[in-house]
Amino acid sequence: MRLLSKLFAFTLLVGLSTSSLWAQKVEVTFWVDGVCGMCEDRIETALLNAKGVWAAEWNASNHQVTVVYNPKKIKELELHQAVAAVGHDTKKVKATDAAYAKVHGCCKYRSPEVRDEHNKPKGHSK
Amino acid sequence: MARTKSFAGVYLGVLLGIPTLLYGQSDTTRRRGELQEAQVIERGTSTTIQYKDPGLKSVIGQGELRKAACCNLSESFETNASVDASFTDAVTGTRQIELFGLAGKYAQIQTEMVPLVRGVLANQGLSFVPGTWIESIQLTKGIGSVVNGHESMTGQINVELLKPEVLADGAKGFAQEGRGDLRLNAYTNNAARTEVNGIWAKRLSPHWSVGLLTHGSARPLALDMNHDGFMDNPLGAQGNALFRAKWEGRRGWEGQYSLQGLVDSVRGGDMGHSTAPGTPLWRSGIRHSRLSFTGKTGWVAQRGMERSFGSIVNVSSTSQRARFGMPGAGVVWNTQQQSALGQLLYQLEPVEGLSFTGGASLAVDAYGQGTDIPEDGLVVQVPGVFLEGTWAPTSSVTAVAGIRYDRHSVFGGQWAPRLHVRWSPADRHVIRLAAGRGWRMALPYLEQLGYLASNRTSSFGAQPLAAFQESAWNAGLSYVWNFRLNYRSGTLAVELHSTQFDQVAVYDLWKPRMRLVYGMQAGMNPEQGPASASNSANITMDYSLTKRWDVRVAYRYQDVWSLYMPNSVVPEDPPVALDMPFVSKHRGMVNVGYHTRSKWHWDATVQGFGKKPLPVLGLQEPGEPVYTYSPAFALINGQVRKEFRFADVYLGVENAGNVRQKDPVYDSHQAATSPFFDATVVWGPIFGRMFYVGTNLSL
Repeated sequence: MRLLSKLFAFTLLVGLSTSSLWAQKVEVTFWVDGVCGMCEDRIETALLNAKGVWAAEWNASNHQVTVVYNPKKIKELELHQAVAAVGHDTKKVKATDAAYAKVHGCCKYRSPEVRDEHNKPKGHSK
Repeated sequence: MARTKSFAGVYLGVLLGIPTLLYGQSDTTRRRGELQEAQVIERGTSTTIQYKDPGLKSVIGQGELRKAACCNLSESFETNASVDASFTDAVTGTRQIELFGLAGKYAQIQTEMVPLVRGVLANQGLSFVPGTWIESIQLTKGIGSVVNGHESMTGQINVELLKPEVLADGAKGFAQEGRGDLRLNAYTNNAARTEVNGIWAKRLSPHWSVGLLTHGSARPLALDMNHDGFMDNPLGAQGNALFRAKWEGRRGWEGQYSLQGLVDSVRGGDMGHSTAPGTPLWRSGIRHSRLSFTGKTGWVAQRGMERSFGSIVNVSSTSQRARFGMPGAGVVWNTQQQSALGQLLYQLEPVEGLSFTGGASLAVDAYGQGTDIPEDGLVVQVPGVFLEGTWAPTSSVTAVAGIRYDRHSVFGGQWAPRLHVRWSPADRHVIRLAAGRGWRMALPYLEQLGYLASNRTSSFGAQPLAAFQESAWNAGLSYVWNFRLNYRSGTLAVELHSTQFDQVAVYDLWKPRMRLVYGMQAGMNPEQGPASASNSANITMDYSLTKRWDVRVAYRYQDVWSLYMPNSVVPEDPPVALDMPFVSKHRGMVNVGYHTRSKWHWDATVQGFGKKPLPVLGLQEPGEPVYTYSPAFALINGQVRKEFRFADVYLGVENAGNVRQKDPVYDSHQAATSPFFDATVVWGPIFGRMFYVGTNLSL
């Protein structure tokens, strides 16, 4: 048991020291189109899955995403591309029709009907 | 007519509303629109303290539930820093949960707002909720809302089961994009415990969806790793099925109707290895069968003033056959319970920021019928009324004041006043205060079946304690800070809780070779005040160290004691205050999770338990102390899980350090004859290191 806990602590130490905990970080905020919590999930997951991204948060009310990333590992434009690849438009990169088609029905932010539905005051408790 | 609302108004509507009243605050928030059926699953569905809730409520989501190895509700709290689970005895395998060191019966444990763990189900009710069926668990620490009943003293645990409409419409299930309305789960471990769960759902029309949750499990193998002659885990089997239909009507009407049936059998005791052939063997057996129907119907006003109405009806019939001891010589307790519960709720928000919930309830429980326990023939009716006001003048302050009056057919009228205040002095900081009274009917015989797993002689005082009223005041103060550090989010929670009993049913194992059950009242020992009390301080920190690493660290100090009859023959001696047996003063936990982009999830939990006071076993000389202590110990659990598109596979180890209580059954080899035979003094794991493997399929 003592051995196990040592092993555990060692793994943790190695994991932490090689992690990007101490890496250089830059914060950037840009506009990403979307409507709901599901979009938020998709956008943030896409960004977090990109190498060099430390944190990502998208706000459904003002459509701004804040990304913290390591500029040595990823360029800002690549962040836009990562978001567009899962079907969400930014000011710099528009999602391809193929990527947009994969977005769930309730997230079809280009459709005015979907937008109206999400702008109703009742409903979405996200 | 949509109307604009202030933040406080929106918040109240989200927080309250019939969906919350009837279905709890679900992990899955969902809406219906004319355009499409869709759902939103909150991100980070592990354990989150509800920032806006006036009570200290956390929601344990799918992410967290997946970390629990196995298999049912009693085992779902292994990575939770607030709830402890422990065995009641060494033969029946019954796990009970504790909040602040107090037994789970003082928390109100419900499935979808219907009481679950009470009466005949007080012992094993938790094991009748398969983990795979659970959508989320809401854990409220401190006194609960009057709307949910009078029985909550230490807290409230509400379990939300998977919803047919959410499943059928393609919720994100086991795999991220799993859209199946058929799911299978299979689990097995190295003790051959095997479980299979099937979940099916279908949308029949825009208004109706149906679902079927099924469970079958078996523990076919008797193992004796500690060579005491007794099974480490009991043999057992369970079949359990729940059919439910959801109706989503027009003009704000909706309903949910569920029918559940189950049979369960648990057999433990002497394996007969070490006794001479022909000797009678000490065995235990508990069988349950249950049929239960729950119907909920609600309505939410579509225009004008915020109004909603809800009703809950539950009827159930449960039978329990319990046997302890030698064939023909032991204790046989057969019980039946017929219960009916009806509840009506009405909610109104006359002005923004102010809302009222009122209603009435009627609970009827009938016990016994042709059985041989003191509860035989007991019929209890409890009509009650309640009113709760919620005032949220700004988005940073919420006050909830509630009162309920119930008329118990045995104990008479009872008041339960409760108050919750939430104040957010700054963004991300919340201070909460809660106080109130709860009461319940204790059924001392039914509620402590495991207590019979010994040759202690029973003495129940001058008159049998069939039904006894317990009541307590609870107060809690907490501070929660959702902080940011190095761009990553974390939560720091500091909590103080106190529960003081006016009246309590005491299970006394302190007297050598005796098991006593009696009632204690506040003031019986003038120096002590309450009859029993729990005071605890809790600090928990959750931090997402990087996007791959999550860490939880928690520590709790708890001081739990109760009054007991003095261990002397002088009847005038006042009751003495002793620490609650089997409860550690110090509890700690560290949980570390790591997940990769390719959806591997690694998880490890270390739980630390301080020494626990225990009754002394064996022969005692007069004047010897009546208690001793268990060693302090730590349990390590680990799991690795890989998610695929339509499945996940998990592999884990429980109790990796192989910590075991060496002698959970005292004098086991003379169970038939020894007055010292005792399986009720259990402080730690009986079974050692255990490996398991399981899979979830979404078809």
